[in-house]
Amino acid sequence: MLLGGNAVLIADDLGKVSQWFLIRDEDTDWKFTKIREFSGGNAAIVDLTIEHRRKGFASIDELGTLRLFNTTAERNALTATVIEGAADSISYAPRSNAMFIEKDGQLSLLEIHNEHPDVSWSALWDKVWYEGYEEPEYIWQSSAANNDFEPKYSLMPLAFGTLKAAFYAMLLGTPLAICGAIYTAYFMIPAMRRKVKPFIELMEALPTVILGFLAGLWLAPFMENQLAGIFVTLLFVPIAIVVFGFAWAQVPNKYRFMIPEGWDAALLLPVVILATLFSLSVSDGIETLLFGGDMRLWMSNELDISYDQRNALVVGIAMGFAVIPTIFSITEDAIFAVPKHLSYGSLALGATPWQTLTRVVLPTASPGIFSALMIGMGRAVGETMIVLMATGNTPIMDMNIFEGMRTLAANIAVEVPESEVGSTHYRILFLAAFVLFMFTFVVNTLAELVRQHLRKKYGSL
Amino acid sequence: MRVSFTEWTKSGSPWVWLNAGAVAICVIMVVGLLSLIAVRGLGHFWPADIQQATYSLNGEKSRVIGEIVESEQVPAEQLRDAGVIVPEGTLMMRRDLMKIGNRDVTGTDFTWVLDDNLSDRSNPEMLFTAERREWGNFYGYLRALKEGDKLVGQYDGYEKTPEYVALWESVKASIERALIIRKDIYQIEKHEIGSINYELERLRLKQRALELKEISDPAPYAEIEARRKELNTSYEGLQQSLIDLYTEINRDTIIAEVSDGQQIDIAVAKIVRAFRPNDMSVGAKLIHYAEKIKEFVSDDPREANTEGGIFPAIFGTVMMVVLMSILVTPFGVIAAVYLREYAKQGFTTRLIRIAVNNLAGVPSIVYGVFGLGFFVYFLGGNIDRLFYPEALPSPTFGTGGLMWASITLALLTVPVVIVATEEGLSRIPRAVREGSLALGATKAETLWKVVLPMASPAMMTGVILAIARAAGEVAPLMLVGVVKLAPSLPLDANYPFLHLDQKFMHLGFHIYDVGFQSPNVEAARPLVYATALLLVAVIALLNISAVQIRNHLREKYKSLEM
Repeated sequence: MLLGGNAVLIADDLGKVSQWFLIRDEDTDWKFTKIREFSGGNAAIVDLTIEHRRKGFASIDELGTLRLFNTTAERNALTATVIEGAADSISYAPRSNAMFIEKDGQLSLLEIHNEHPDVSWSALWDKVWYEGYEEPEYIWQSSAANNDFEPKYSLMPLAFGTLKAAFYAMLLGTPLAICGAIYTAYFMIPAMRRKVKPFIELMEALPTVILGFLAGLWLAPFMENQLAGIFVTLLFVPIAIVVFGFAWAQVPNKYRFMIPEGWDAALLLPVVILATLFSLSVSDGIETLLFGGDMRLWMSNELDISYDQRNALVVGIAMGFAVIPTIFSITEDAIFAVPKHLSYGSLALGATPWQTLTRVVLPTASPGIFSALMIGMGRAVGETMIVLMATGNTPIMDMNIFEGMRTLAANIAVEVPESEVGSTHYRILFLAAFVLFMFTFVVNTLAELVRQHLRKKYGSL
Repeated sequence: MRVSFTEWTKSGSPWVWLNAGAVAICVIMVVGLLSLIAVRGLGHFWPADIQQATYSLNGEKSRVIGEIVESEQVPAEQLRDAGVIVPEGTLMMRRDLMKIGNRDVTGTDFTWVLDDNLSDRSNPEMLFTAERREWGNFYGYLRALKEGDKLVGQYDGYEKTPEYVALWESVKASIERALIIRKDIYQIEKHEIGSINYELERLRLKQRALELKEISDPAPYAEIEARRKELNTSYEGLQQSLIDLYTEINRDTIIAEVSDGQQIDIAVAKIVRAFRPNDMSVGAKLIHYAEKIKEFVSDDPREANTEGGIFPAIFGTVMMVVLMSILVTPFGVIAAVYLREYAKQGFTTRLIRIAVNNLAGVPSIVYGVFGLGFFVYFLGGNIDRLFYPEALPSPTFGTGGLMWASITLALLTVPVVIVATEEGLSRIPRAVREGSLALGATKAETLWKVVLPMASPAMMTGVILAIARAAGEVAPLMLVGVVKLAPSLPLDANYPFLHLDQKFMHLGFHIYDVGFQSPNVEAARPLVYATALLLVAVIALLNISAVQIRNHLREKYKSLEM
């Protein structure tokens, strides 16, 4: 019996120990199943003993070789020959820091230093078959009320959640930031650019705790009520912009020239606002027409998509908001730094401004844009407060945009203050911080190298 | 001018328009966000009218009294499912969220009512709101005022009559009196008893330190004992006057009628302020508004942070930011001066620049974890063992506190200062430097007398940006010393005056905590918006001034360039 009384360990004469426990099959019948096997040597095992606080055990074989194992981590922590010949029995001290070995009526005491046997590569990053589960799974569940609980330290759901949040944030933030930067740097007149750029960069200074608070307490309930409205807006606003652009081209020159060139973006402000309000107001009707009055209900009934109030879409919008200024600012600098004579040359040869932009300016600025994306990505991955407040913090692995997640950063913020200093849990949280650090380190270094390379290349032009 | 659609698309115009649209959307998002916070944050302090109406639900009629906070449309289907009788043919119904207060009577502060089912709506002039120290707001009609067991005044109608107004005025006077007594109580409890307790604790630690050093000379012990006796005597004196004050303050009670006709007693001592919003002129409301804002920025929080002010959070944030800038400025400036003026530009400086930029990109929570592991547990733990053994096992510096939070944030903002200062240094024209050197100044003199004064606005910019960043950062602080409610400020009249080891409150964390961890999120939400508005305003102001300084600097040296 392993700690907790849910699993059985069986040792054989060939030096193998296997772990068995009851699981339920498809017919909901309980079946006693062999989960994993620990092999050590070929000699027959004489005795097994379990740890009193952890899911670990020790075995000793007839050659006197002692082996310490941990079941969750599938790890053989120690193999050592401690006595000559077969021992009669062994037993752990309550804190697993010592062990008695009995042989021929004589006891010997071993001191054991086995601090964190429950961590291994497979326990952190692979699927693990936890006690009572039907199959191996990725699970993060670091603590529970009882003592004989099997801690589940799989970092996979957290890493997945981090990337999912960053992915949706980038999905919403990137197009807006890059398109905005292109327009600001290339088409906008300098007088307006001088106002718009610092304004959007001001967003970068906005504390993320405020974005997170708004996302969690304002946007999430709003979206729950207006889900259809949000989607209609996402579709309708670009269409409205293009339609307005075309309509503007039809307006007689007399009126058109009243607006100085480069101020077109200002004209769009009311268009976007009206389009948004219009989409929100018609969305109720559309919802009734297409989805029977309630899009969320329809989704869960027809498409079998569950909906959390605090979901990836909310995080995407809020965190998109946070990464836009970062990406915008660097992209804008990169495009603005493209030497003017390149674009003038292209325009002089008869290319339209748009052709010049896509064929000449953007390729030249592409390393800078890449570096902007990398830095934006780094920011999205490490962002804590927004995800902490707007995701619901459930460590699940599901790509569904309407479900929450838990990210590495939020996990650290939630659990570090409560973890026992020096414990395995505490160390794994530090490891998670290290993973985050390494990720942003690699991404930022790459971005910085690209940027320095770019600077060298165009410094001479 | 007519343009055909194909021609128009061929020129790439749709794409240009879409790009322009992206800028417009970004601008709208920023403006929308700021105005959302501003409207909700500022609206909170305005005294809202109290409505009285008859509410009928499924045939039952009742009187409701409260403020309508917000409205929304709900599908009628959903209401029918919930067992509400809804007329046939309606698809959507308007539903209002009403703040009915009186949590001690009804159990909740808020209730949803269907707008169509409200009838006989009125705003009676004599309805009053009382902000209380516990149980949230009270709404109702005043019925009587009692001094001890003696009835002072009584009134039974609902209309505004001179007698009723006279009763109201006497209640106001009674509240005024209680507030003055409360001030005295606060002074004794917080300052006088507080400092006695603080000194007693220091005496205990002193004695423990003597015992640890195994000093057997009885003289110092006797001295401590004598001082302790003295303190205990004055403590008892204060205790006696506190008891007197408490009997004084608890003298008056009022009796008031709530929406269902029940009459309840409210102790005047528990009332912070009472007013009749329906009978207030715009001028009176403005004065009330100003008072509320003053309370918000200068008072302590009440009722688990959901009411009252946020002064300790403002103070904590400012303290931390000041300490941080004291730490970060010399560090960042010296590093930038070395990198730009003294170091040989080459592989090493390039590596250092990459490292600095990297440091700026590291997630803030990682700084928090580093601060916790290295500063708090490693450095703090060792400091405790070496210098504060008498306080162990309770930690002095071995737990999160003001000092560690400031150092962690200084680390986080050092790249900002370095980058800004370097940029400033690189903008100083060569001619100025060479002129100084040609006149015989040494390199250090040139740096000190010419370059640094000229670069000082850039340094200012860097420090301001660092402050703005630090003021808004929350994630690392959660690990190194911010708490939801600190009993005392980190700066006070007790020796050594500045308590670097104390935990503190912070505006950003206050937003997170009150918005997400508070027991009564609905009631606290307006306060969170107001806090957010304050934080945004401070940070935007800092950033705008930084940008202004930078632009000014650029203009200034442009003319020197030639």
